[in-house]
Amino acid sequence: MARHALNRTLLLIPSLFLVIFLIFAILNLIPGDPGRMHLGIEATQEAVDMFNRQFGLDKPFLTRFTTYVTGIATRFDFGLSYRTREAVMPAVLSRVPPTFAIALFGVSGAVLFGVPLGVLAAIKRSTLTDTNVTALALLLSAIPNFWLGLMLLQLFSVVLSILPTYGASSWKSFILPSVALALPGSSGFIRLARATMLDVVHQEYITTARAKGAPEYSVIWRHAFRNAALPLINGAGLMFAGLLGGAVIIEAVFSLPGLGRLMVTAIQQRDIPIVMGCAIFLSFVFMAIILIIDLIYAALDPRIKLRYQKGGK
Amino acid sequence: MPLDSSKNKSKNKKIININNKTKFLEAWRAFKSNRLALIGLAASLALFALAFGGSLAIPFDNAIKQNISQRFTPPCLEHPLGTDGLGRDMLARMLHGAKVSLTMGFIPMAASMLAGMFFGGIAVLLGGWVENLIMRVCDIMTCIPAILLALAMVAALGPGLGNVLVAITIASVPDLTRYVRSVILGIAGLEYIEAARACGASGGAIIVRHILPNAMGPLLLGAVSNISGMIMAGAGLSYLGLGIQLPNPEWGAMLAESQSYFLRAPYLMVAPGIAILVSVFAFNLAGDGLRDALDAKLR
Amino acid sequence: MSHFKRLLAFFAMLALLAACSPKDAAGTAGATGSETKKTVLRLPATTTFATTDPHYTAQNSDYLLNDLLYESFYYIDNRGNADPRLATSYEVSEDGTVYTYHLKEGVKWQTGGTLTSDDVIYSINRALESPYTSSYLAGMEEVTAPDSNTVVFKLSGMSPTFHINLCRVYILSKAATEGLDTGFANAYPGGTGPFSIKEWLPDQKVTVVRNNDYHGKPGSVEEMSFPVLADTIASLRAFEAGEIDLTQVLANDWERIKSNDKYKTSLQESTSVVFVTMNNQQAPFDNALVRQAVNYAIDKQDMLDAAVNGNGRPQSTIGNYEMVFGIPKPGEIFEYSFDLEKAKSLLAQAGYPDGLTLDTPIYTLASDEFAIPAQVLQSQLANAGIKAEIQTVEQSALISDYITGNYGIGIIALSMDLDASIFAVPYSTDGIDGLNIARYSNSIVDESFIKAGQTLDENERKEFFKTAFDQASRDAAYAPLYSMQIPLAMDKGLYADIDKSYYYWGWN
Repeated sequence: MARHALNRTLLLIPSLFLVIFLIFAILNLIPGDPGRMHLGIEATQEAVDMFNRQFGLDKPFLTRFTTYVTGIATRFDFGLSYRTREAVMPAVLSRVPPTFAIALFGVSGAVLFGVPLGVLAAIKRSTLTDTNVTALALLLSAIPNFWLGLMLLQLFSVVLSILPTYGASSWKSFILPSVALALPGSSGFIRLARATMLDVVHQEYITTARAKGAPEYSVIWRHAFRNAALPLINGAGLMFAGLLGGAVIIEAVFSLPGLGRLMVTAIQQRDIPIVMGCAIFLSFVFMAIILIIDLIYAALDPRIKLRYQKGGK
Repeated sequence: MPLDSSKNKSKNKKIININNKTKFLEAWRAFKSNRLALIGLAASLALFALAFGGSLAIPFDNAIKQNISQRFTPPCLEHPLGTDGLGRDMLARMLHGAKVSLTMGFIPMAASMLAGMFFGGIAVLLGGWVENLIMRVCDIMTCIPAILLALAMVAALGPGLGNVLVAITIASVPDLTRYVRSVILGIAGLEYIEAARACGASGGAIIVRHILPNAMGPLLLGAVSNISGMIMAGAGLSYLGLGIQLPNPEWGAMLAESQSYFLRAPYLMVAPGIAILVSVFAFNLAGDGLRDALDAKLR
Repeated sequence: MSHFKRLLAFFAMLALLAACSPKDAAGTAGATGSETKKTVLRLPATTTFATTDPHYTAQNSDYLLNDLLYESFYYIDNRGNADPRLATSYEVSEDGTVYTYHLKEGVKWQTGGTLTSDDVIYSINRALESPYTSSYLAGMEEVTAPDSNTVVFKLSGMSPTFHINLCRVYILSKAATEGLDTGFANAYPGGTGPFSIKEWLPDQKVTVVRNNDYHGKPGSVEEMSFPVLADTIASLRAFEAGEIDLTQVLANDWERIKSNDKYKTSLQESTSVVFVTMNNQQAPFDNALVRQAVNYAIDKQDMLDAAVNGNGRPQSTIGNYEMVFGIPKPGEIFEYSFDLEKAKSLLAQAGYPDGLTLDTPIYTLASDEFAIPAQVLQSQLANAGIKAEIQTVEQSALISDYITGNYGIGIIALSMDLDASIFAVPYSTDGIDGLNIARYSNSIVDESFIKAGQTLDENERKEFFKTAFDQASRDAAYAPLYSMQIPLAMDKGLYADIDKSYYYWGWN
């Protein structure tokens, strides 16, 4: 088991390398001139050429890639942003806190709101409660999170003026974006919790536990839920990782200086070092989360641990 | 469970065949008894009928004909759903947009579901380095920012509805693969696999007869709950030049652009919003019903 | 079926929310903190701040900020009016190749010390090395400082725009800036300007405070803060909630905001002109008759109404005659009227009596600003018999395509200000593979622009420009549409001249 964990951790490095290579390649192959994008379309061609020369953009692809990767490997040097000429990693990391906050609160809200409802629906299967909860889940899944954000903003910030309309200045700024992410996100958890609980509740080991005389709550929470928890952990981890880089529209609606917006703006402007920096950070976090989830799976479910120990078959 | 003794093989085959037919009938009966599922199915069929029939009834020209002096007219007799920022009739645009949006919600969902089942299934089935490879490839694909992927596809493939569907499908496959794998690992599927292998069943048979039915339920759930996301993704992609081009109507794009008008002409948001909502409900209810019906069969 | 009832109730609530009169909304908000507002001016920044290095900025937020922190010899506003700052006067030699500037004495740096010509020499040399500012010093051969209060520029040839371009180069303190990286990462030394940085959070909010050692008239506002907002929608929302004092207003919200008595509104000219560009080197647009037909098929007023609610000015060149020196006024050059019959007959003359279908689509960006004129264009061209599809392209790719000539017809906007000489690039043969995205070439136009650069006499220059633009219009190099006007809403007590830097703004 430990060997498997070590294997996976070591695999992170070539995986990351491949991601870096692919993203670098795409950035350099799609049309778009960083010089012209940063200087403005009205800039003279001489100025554009000067800009590109200063950042080494006139050199061939492989040379640039090798220089870039060597810089990272030897000095943790991720280059300078084309737009601000600041060091890339500190700039990227400074944009993480607001995104981290809404991702965390969004996922927590979604789980805390969705899972109990889903479990409830599973327990009271085919009753009115079940129907209502399912309908609610459907409704929530169809609402785009940015639309909900806009409505909430209009109501609480403009009409009622009790919450700020923009920025990350106080804890109040994080309430609305988190709600806008949590509510639609909870729909997945409601239905997932319901489905997996339904599957598990009918398994034999549950019947056995009941037959043994275990109290109902123990049956539900200790036996049923433990196994139903695995896809939920998977879902929560993935949602979190996804929001770190993907909450762009919410960040735009609430004017949050987050990581998603940084990356999207950098892509549009072809600020290649920043795009690479964001992508590397997000990839690293994502792969780490996947690894942790897989290890949790093994820890919680002895059958899976067995699989890894046996090396697969 | 069919006995595996050669003497009874032909008799077993008959039992298996009857079992399948009964299973199907049982499933259908279970489905029919679920009123919500029937409503879902009916609504889905109605949507498709509306999409393809409606666009025959009202000429396409009405959906793109501009009338600048009449822009932003609220709903009235002549324009039951009002007109948009260029004076185009919203009703015509909704009907003609239906085809595109339903396709964009439905096809990538089905395609990515199949792909997810396939890759997730063989990952768990074969295990070892194959599983590792498949999962790592999924990870790498997820790590590439969606916009870059889209831009690369535009540069490589060019615009058009077909390419958008391909793009959305490819982007969804890693998620579904991972999801399928987690579902199979998380539920009792493993024991079915062990048992089936012990009975000498082949890899393919294991996938089709044991993994699929178990994974189908949560899988349908996972795929179908993402329909509105796919429709909006289509809208987002057309921003980058991949997908439905102006002035062709499409619900996701219509909803997205109605944001800028929401205080001036709020009724413009209502139609596409409700349409997407109804589509999501219809497909989900039908999908849920299907899942519950299959479940009933298994229990 | 209680969940259906629940659904209905939910939708009713949504409808109610949507219909909720925004007038009531604005009425309750916006009345907060009317006392504290008077000393702090809160203005929105719609891009994050990149740097306080004035030689390395290209974005609006940074430009507007640097106007407060740094100065050049003269401050020249958007209309070309000059205000002396670091220079008390300047002279130009007879042949126009020597410019002599006399520096003001006793000007203090925010970082300590006094301005001398050493600082100027240092700043000019530094600006030459930056791609953002090097083009402003084009034509300069050498710069010298005969004494500590005089700077002399020697040019290789006459350049009527040297002075206004030079004044775009800010002067930095040699002592404070010499050791810093280009881009001033994590430092904000400031210059001689009327304000200095109080708080620098480039992704969230930047605050400046009045410089009490300023050599000129003190700014009337004590403090200004610039919160970073994602876009104009967020900015308007913040304004209506009373969180900022001024905002740009989107076309669709204009009527609603204008009719609200709480705000002062105004419509400001801008140099941004939206136009249709056609690839003059590629069929069918290599035929002038077809290009002219396109011009006649366009109804600019419809375009204006649909795209910006009429808040704009129809143009016959790709510059705004109202704001740029040298752009001919309406009536001075050949202009196209909206005439479908003329368009069709020109097409017939060109060999397309039954109209034509274009192989290449109309390129445009996806944002409303361009997507709407593109759709109107498609419809208007169809009325004249020209059928075309539309293709939205991502911004970077679109600009690349335009510059390399990899397109047939498309919509774009350019924003070029102050002097018409800058339009030589998009209209001259030299500009092909650069800003001359129409790939238009006419020697009369080329020569006229050159001659306009060889005299300092304003009237002579205007005549040359007129010739150039008239010819380009007749040849239908482009199909100019309109310049945009910026609708603004602001607090009633605010005096805000959008053509001038924030330094000139204040409360009544």
